[in-house]
Amino acid sequence: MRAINRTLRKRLVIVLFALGAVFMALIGRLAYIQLIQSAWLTEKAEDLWRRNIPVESKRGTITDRNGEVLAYNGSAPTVIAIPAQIKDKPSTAEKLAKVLHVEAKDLLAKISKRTLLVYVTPGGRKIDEQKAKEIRGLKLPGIYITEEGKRYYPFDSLSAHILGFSGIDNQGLTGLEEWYDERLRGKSGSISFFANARHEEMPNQNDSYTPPQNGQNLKLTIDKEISTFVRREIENVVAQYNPDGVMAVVADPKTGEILAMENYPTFNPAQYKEYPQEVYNRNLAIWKTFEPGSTFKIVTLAAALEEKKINLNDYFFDPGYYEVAGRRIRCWKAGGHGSESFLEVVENSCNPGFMLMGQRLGKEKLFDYINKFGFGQKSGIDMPGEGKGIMFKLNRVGPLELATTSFGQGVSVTPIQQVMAMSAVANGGLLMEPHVAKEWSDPETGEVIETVEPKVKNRAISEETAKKVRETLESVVARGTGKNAFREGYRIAGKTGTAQVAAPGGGYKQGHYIVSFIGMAPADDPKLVAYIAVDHPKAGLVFGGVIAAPVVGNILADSLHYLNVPARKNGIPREYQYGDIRPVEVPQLSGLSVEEAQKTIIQISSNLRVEKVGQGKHIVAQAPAAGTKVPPGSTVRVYLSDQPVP
Amino acid sequence: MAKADTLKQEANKTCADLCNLLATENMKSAKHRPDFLLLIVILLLVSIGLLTIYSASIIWAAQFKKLSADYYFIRQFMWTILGLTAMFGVMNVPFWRWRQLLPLQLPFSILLLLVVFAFPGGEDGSYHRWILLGPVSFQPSELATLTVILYMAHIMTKKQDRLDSFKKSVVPPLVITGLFAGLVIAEPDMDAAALIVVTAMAVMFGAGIPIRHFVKLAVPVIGLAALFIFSSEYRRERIFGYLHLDPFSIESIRGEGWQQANSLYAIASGGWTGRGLGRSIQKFLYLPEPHTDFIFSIFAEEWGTIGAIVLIVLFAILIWRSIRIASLLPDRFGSLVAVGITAMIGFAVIANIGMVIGALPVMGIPLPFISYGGSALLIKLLAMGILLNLSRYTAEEQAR
Repeated sequence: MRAINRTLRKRLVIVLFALGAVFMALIGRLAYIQLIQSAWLTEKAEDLWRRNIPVESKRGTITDRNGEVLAYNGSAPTVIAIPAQIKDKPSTAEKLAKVLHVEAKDLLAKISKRTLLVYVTPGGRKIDEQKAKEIRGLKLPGIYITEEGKRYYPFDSLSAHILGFSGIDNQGLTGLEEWYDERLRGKSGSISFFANARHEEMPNQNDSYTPPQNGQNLKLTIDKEISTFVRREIENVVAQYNPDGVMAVVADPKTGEILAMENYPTFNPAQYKEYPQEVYNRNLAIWKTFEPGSTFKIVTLAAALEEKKINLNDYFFDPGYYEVAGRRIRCWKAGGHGSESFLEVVENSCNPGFMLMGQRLGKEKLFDYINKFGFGQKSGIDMPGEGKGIMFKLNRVGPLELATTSFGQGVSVTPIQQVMAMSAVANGGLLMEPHVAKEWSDPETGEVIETVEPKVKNRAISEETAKKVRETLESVVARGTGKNAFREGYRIAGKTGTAQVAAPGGGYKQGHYIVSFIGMAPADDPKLVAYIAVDHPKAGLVFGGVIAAPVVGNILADSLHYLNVPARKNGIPREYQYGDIRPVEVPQLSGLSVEEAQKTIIQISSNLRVEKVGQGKHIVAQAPAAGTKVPPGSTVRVYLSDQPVP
Repeated sequence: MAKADTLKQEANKTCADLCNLLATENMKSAKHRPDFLLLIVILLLVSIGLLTIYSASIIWAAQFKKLSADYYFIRQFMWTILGLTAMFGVMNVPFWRWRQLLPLQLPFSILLLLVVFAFPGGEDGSYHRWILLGPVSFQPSELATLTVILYMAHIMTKKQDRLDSFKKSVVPPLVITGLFAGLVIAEPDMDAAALIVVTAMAVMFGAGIPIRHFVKLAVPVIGLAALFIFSSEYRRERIFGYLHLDPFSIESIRGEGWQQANSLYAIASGGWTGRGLGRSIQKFLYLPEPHTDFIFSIFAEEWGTIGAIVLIVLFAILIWRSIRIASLLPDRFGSLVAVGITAMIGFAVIANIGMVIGALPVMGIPLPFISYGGSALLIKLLAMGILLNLSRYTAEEQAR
């Protein structure tokens, strides 16, 4: 018996040690969980328990350069429900329906969904404060009020392509709303709490509120007033010529800031869904690529002047064509311009003259300047959807390609590239990077976070050449093809362009032209560069000088007046031809008596109307001032007083 | 020759019985105080169990079952009163009475295992684990385990001089054990059946059956177990889930791994010191039936890993005390009963905690004294009563 008991005891010791080891293993495993795995397990567990009610951040406002609001967020209370927390669903639906004026059964269906969070719709999104207050007053469990933003664009379609729009969930979809989405959007916050497995809020657990981080405010380089002028001009063009498209850009040549960029067809960002997607997705002014035609001659001219290949006073004979590689390429004017100076070549936009310049430059030099002026590459503007354009590859450029390129055919460019090239001429030779964002500021404090500085990409030509090109272009407006852009006192310089549109199968589309004009003013110190292109205008005489030039003239004159740029007197005088309407110079009336003034008006036999303001015999002031040139039939206002001017 | 052998055996048997009788008579006079430490540990475990069941079950009862929050607690409390009464009663019943009662207990226990088939349970009525009498339910497999322990201790005592014979001392008890286990498997409750078999083996091991017999047994037992495991899909899943060692994989978390993953969340997020009594988050319906098999994780979440280790240590003390009793008892039957009870508690604790902390596959074995379950607690307290009674007959002087 003792022996048997000894076996038992021996075996019990084994059992004791085995069990002891297993228990130690259990404790070890527990410690392992706590020491090693606890961090990620706890994180997973908290993810499992945590429920977040999103609190939308407020999208930053977008203003023009003067603080005029172009896009802002209205926020409105929105009702949301956590179905699991609603104890009595029918009565909750009933009570909500009464406040929101909707069918209770629709709401009941909504709040009976088996999801964490639902919007109480219909009727519960973006409600007014009064209703929100009533719903808060009901103190319904599981019903919460949160804020939701709605984007407003107070000027409807003004600068629509620049602004773009944002979708229902506060996300930028096109334009700057897309390009700067992250900064404008900010970061959503949340109310978070621990819930049980049925999404019901747990008692005695800390709720936490992470406030949303509102999006930054963006100030643009855009000037709302100038944009309005541009818009008005585009609408006139559309009414008059019914074109397929219009694109216009106004820029500050010294900084590369875009002051206006408008397109037709356009859209209203608030109702973007009503427009075809190609309308709102294509910002034609940076997207569309087409043959520029004669406006491109500026590059050839600048290159030829910089390389001293021509002298503006040298003479050239245009027989009406230019022979290249055994082929005759004709000038736009049948019969040619005959003998002309190179200045007149530019004034007349004479193709053979430019082909000669191209030939003298050679393909390497010409294409080098084309590159320096920024063609064939994206301008780098801070907007989505920019086009790049197409250039000949240098090794495939023969004499024919060189000839056509030098007057703007066979190359494809975007409007913004042309504007920046013109800006380089305007600012003394520097190619700038265009931009529309000017300044970022904190939405809470208004403090400026970031100011966008002008960025020089490279020097294209020397200041001296730039000055020469400007003078030449001023004479194009005063005496050449750009006469319709002439505005007395503003010294507008510019170049017309009329280009055929390439057909998809090769060759050109019959009767389809894009007419354009690019101008700057004042020529001695350009403040603005303006560009307009009209795609397929329906008119008898389709020339850039006829359709596009007056538009740029109007835009520049109105904008410069608005910017208080003083009128110049030393400009190249306009050359008048038979049939042109000559402006009338306003006589000196101020300081005269009424009778003397009447005599003066009759003497100059001009067609001016006089409007008297006030009472008396003596004229003390007049508007416009003496010496101003106005169209015949204009009104001069005179201010009367009993006392003569001392 | 054959007759002489028979006579010799007869004489041996008489001698063995006589010896036992003598020893028993000796012990009667040597009766002393029960193991006080053991009693304290049992009372502590029962109290912890009640408290944890209350904390773990209120949310499940109120929010899921739509019962009153203290529904499970009140029931468990009644069973605890009943169980403790039974324990203190049995503590004073001399343990050899159980041996005398065995001819009644054995058929009664089998009868209950048969009666259970009249009570369909589970969601689709395919389970027969409880005998339902009005508000009271009873799990006959629990009683079966205790019956098997007593039977094995009896038979191993009776055949102690023929332990070397595989045919005579291993096969007959295994047939009885197999009968019990088979009935429990038919309920079906594979895990409870496994516990019965393992406990029976432990008694045989303690009794001194030669190791080579166990080796012979290993092949058919493991083979049978494998057969049962792979014949049922959910058991297969449990094993594969365990072998993949990732209760967090998508397939696993949707199926069997859900409980284990949530159990680990509870233990990990409780930290070393715990959230505090009643502050578990996982009991908010993340962990289904938090008061039953996975209660240890809720305990760990509320009391922290330190609390969990203390609980494990309490079980370790209980096992140490019962092994001590087994080794100090001069009576062979009593000693083997103590071994069986130790095995029943010990294996259940290891299986349960091992499962909860993700070291073992998911099994349906409750944590003794802590998990919710009235009849299980009653039987375990009854067993503790027997153990406490056994502790009164230990030969303390011999230990010195």
